[in-house]
This record gives sequence, C-alpha cells and structure tokens, in this order.
Amino acid sequence: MTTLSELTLQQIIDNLPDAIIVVAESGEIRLANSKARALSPGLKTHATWESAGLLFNTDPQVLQQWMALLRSAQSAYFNIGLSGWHLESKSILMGAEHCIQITGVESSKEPKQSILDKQTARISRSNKLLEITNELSYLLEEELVLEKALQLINEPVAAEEGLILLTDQVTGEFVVRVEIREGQQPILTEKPTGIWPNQGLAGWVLRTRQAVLVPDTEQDRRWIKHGSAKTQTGPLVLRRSVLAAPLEFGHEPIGVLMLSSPIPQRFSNDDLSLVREATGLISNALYNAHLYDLIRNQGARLGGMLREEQVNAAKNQSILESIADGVLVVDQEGEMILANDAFIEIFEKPRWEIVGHHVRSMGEIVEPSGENWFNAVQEWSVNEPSGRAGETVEDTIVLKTSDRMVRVNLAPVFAGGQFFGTVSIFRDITREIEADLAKTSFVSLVSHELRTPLTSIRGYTDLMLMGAAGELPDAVTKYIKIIQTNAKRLHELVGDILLITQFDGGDMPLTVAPTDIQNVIDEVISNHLKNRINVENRDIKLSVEGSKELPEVMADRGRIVQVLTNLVDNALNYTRDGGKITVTARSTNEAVFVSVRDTGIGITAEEIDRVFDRFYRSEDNQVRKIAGTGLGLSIAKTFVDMHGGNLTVSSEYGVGSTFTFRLPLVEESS
Amino acid sequence: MIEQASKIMAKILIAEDEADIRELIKITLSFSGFDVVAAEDGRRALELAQEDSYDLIMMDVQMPHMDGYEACREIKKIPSLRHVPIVFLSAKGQSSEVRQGFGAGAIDYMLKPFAPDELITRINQILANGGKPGQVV
Repeated sequence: MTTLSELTLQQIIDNLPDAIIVVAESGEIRLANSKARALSPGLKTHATWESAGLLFNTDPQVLQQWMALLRSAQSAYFNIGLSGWHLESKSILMGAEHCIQITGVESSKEPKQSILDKQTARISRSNKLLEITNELSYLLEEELVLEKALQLINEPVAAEEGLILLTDQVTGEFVVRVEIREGQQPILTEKPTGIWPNQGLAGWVLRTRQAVLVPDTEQDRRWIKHGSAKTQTGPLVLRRSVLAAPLEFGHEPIGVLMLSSPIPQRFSNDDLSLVREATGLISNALYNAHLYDLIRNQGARLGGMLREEQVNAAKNQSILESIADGVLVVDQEGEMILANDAFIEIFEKPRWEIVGHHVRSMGEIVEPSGENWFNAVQEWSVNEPSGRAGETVEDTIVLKTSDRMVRVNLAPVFAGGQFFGTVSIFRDITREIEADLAKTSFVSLVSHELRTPLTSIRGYTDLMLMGAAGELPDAVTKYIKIIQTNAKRLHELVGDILLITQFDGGDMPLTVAPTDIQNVIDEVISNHLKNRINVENRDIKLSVEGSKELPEVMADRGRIVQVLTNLVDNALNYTRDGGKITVTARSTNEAVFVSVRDTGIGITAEEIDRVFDRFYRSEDNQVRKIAGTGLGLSIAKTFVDMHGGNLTVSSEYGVGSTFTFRLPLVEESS
Repeated sequence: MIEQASKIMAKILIAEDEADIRELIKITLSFSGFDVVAAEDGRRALELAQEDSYDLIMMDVQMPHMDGYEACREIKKIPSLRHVPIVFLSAKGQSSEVRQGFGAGAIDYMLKPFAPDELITRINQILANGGKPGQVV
C-alpha cells in the first residue's frame, strides 16, 4: 500500500535533475524518479533490479557484482553503463529498510578534470538533496521538519549560524522558529525579530520569492542591522555573508531560511543552488506535514465514522441477506436500492430489474391487490413522511406473475432524524393461507363427519334407555349404558379437539358481558358437578366457600362456565370416594379468584409444569385408570388467558391439588 | 324420565337429510308429545313450511339441494312465516358456522350429538318464551 510519505518522496525526487533509483536488498526497485524512468521507460517501482540494467545498459552479471559490493560497502563509484553518465551509489535507510541508492548524473562535454570536479560536486549535492527529501518525507510534524531541514542544509554549507524565520500568522512579523550554531543541534524557539515582510533582506526574499547570496552585508542596502541585533541571544553574532531563500506553503510565502557567517565571501554559488533547491523541498515537506496533519485529524474522525459505518453496513447487509423474509429498501428518491435474496425469490425477478429502478416499476406485479402498499411506498418518496416514525402500512399482495400471496409491511426509515427512505418486508403467505384453509375445512369436515354417526349412536342409546323401545333386560341396559358412556367420551373429545383447532386458528371470539361469577359457580356445581356425582354414584363431599359478594367481571360467561366445569371435572376424576372438593371465590380490587381444591391423588413436582400441556397425561397408573384426553386443563387455561387472567396450580402428591384462576376486573387484554 | 311437550301437540317441522338422524329426532320429539313433520332437505322444508303452520322449525345445516342457512333465510323472507322460530341442529360446531346460523335468522343453534332431554328442554323454553330462546347452556 502506498503511504502518504512515499507519495511525497516520489513527488519530490521527480523534481530532481538527476536520475535516481533506490533498490532494496531484495533486488526490488523501491523508487525511481521521473528522470530515471525517462531514460528507461521499462523501469517501474516494484520491478526487479534487473530491469535497471536497461537504464544503465549493463550486463546483469556485472550489476549483481555491484550489488554485492554495495551490500558490504557504504558507497562506491561505479563508472559503467550508459555513456555520458556517471553513477554513484550508497546504502541508505529508507523507512526501516536498508536500500541502495544509485544516482546518475549526466556528464557534460567539459574538460575531464573539471568534469570530474563538477560531477563530484553535483553528485554530492544530489545526494544531499535526496537525503533531505528522504528524511523530511518521513517527518510529518511541522516543527520536526523545520528542525531537521535546517540541520541537514547546514551540514554541507557549514555556516556559522542558521535561522528559519516564519511570519507570524496574525501580525506578520518575522519570528525565529529554529536556530542552529555550527556543530550544534538545532533549537526550536519563538523569538520575534522586529522585522516585517516589508523590511530588510528577509522581507525582500519573502516578497520576491527568490533565493539570494549576499557576499557582504555591509555592501547590501537591503540588509538592516537593527533587526539582526534584536534576534541576538548571548554574544553578538556578526552576519557578514548571508544565504537566504524563501519558504513557501503551497503558493504562499511563509518565511525565510537564512544561513550566515561573520566572514565575508563565505558562500559559493553551489551553496546557493543547494539552499535554493533544498528550500523547495522543505516547503514541500512543510506543506505535506500540514496536509498530513489535516488529513490525520479529518481522517481520524472520518475513519472512525467510516469504519463504524462499514462494520454496520457489512453487518446490516449480511443480516438483511440472511433473513427469510423479503426485504426491499427504497431511498428517498423512490429508487429501489436494496433487495435481498428472499425478495428476489418471492418476486421471481432478476435483481438487475429491481435494484436501481424506480419503485413504480413494481406496479405491473403488485397492482391492483397491493394498492395500499404501492401507493404508500411511492407517496412517501415524494412527500417525506416526517413525524411518521413508527407508522407502518400493511397489505396483502397477490402477485400477478405467480398468484402468490404476499404479506407486506412498509415502514419509513429515519437515520439521525433524517428521512432515509422506506423498508418493506415481504412474507410469502401462500402456503400459510392454503394450509389454514385446508386445516379449517378439514377440521370442519372431520368434526361434522364424526358427529353425524355419534348423533345416531348417542341418540338411539338414549332413546332405548328412555324406554322408547320398550322394557329392556337388565344386561342389555347395562351394555347400552357402556355404549352411552363411551359415546359421550368420544363426543367430548371431538368437541375438545375442535376447540383447540379454533384456538390455533384464532377463530375464537369472546362475547364479554358483566358476569356474576358466584352465579357461574352455583350453576356449574348444581347443574353439572352434583349431577355427575349423582349419576356416577360417587361419595364426594362438596363445599362452596368464600365471599358471596363478588364484583362482576367482564367475561364470556359460557367460556367461564366451561373453565370451571373442566376444573371440577378434573377434581372429581382424580378424587377417590370419601374425598372432598372445595370451590372458593374471593376478590381483590383488581381481580376475582376462583379456586377448586380437591383431596385427590395430587401431582408430582416433576409433572406439575406439564399439566397444562395439551394431551399431557401422567404415566401414573392412578391417572391412567381414569378416562381422559389430556385436553381439559389446557382448554381451561387457554380460556382464562383469553380473558387476560391466569390459571395456576399447586399440589402435593398424595394429598390433593388446588387450581386457581384469576379474572381481572378491568379487562387487561382480549 | 324425559320432559313432556309443554304445549300440547305443538307442531314441529324438521329438516334432516340423514335418514337415521331424521328418524331419531322424529322419535325423540314424538316421544315427548310433539306433532312432527319431517323433510329430507332444505328445499322440501321450505315447501312444507308454506303448506301448513308450525310452532317451530328445526333444521340441519348441511343438506343437499338447499342448505339450512338458505332455507332459513328464505322462510324468514315470507311474511306469514317470519314469526316461526327456527332452530338449527347441526354437527357443524365452529363458531363461524354458528354465527352464520344466527345470521340467517335462527333463534337457537344446537349441536349434534344431542342429549334428548336437553333438546326437549330447549324447545320447550323457546315455545314458552313465545319464540325467544331460553337460557342457553
């Protein structure tokens, strides 16, 4: 991955007049500037070292020897390759990596000795500049750049004093930011100079943006002494010869780099060139440092947000994809921007016909059955449904393409208070509806078909027992009674199963009215329980306890009669002769409580949680002996639940059980 | 012992397609002292209802040619028969089916299989209340 500082380095060395290649020890080319690439177009970053042979027109074997030599030595001159070029190489540290830097300087047609001198000078300058570039490129803090730059520039020039003056952003006054004395480390300061950009040599450099060499300040009218005196710290520094160059930030001059010596004529034109080129690099580095700072701050903020968003987006996307329901997201322009796999499957349309299209194109599939949804999803993209958070539109669509029944829920999506679009969730309910219809008609059919023959069985046995067929022998009466009992059981079972299928189908409305619970208790005990005890010739004591003054509850009387009937039947079924059944009623401010307590066989702790489960019957032999379907308590609980009440049980095995149902005085739910 | 018809020789029209059950109802009601006329489907019941006057009509729901709901609605459309209480006696027991029965104009909806004494009790209550249902158990 290319980093910011690599880019910076590349930009800077591209401006150098000489060809530069940096090769890693692995033989991979890390860096090549535009001059090098111009000489050898095949040369690319990350290419192998061998491709550099094109540039230097050199036998690869010789290059390898050269590389070996370079790995062991600090630097070496290597006068081979392209005629008219002089190469120097040295090992450098690039980032944390050991590399070999090769600088190629084009030879001119000057006399030999002079060429050699000039080449040596140029190479050393190029090397110095690359060193500055390389080092500064990795420095991304302004102060560090300034410090290091002054130090690096002053090394080859060896001026007695070096300063970096930056103009104050508010007042415009030149301020000394870094100073260095020969052979010492640079020092960061904030010293004002008393010189403004319209004054002195520094002002001239800043205004003209030109580097300047002043051989003797006493001969230069631009030089003002008082300014220099003001910057004085400690012993007086005499500045007779000065090198000064502008520092720029982008295209704005921001300050001046100044090297000085107490000796007149101290600096050469080569020094001037070096300073001129170096200040260009420093300006670049400063700009980069500033940019980096900006980018880092912004980046940290955006990066944090972006990463969070990416994580969320990836998470959201995978969540949306994985849900079984179809998901369609429509943006605030009405464009469908997301459709998950389930949606594609339900609508049997390729994704490219959905995503990116306006939602109105769905009309041909969903109209007219899905009109509510279709209108709302379009309306909401035109008129932002502000204040409609939480509002949803439900619709059932019959797809024109496949006749599938699809249930849809539409909701607006707000992110941070801003309307983002809508999300529609589709569920294919074709099977559910088919199954529902099949179940309902099946249940209806089965219960009808079961009841019809039962009607004859029960009816004719009843008729015979009524004496409609004349006097019956005792044995016949006994057998017919057995038929009658079992026909009744079968009848009850059919009724219970029908009830349960009605619960499941939700086809069980309650007809609630103010209901006198005491009256219900009296009715169930006298019309049903006492009757059963008589008919079955049981020896069971009955007791009704508790308040006679019960408030009326809002309830479906018929259902509550059934609840209590099931509870007393259960009590009677599992209580041996000689036992007792107690029905207790009481009320609080919130509810009426009715308990049915028996002295029956009881329920074990292991089984007590299961007594309300459908068809659950204990393995206990005492239970198995007694006829039952395992539905009575489950049905009672369902009815009580429908009233917003609850049915609970407490029991001690071998001692008895108490079932209590609570009916709220104020209806809690339907 | 079973309750006897409260109104001496009250006349009841029954409609039931299943022969065994038609016979069962007929015997049960006759045994309790009612005068019973039986039809084998809704269409026949509609004809018979107009030929004679009845104190009560008891019909099955599911019958060929014309089902009980329709026969009930048709009878209720005839001004001279509007006051005759109609009771369904059906094996169809889902609440939607029961609601449909009352919706057609019935005064009561009893389920098969029936206990003979309960059937008589409810008929007697309706007749005693002048065509209004008694306490539904």
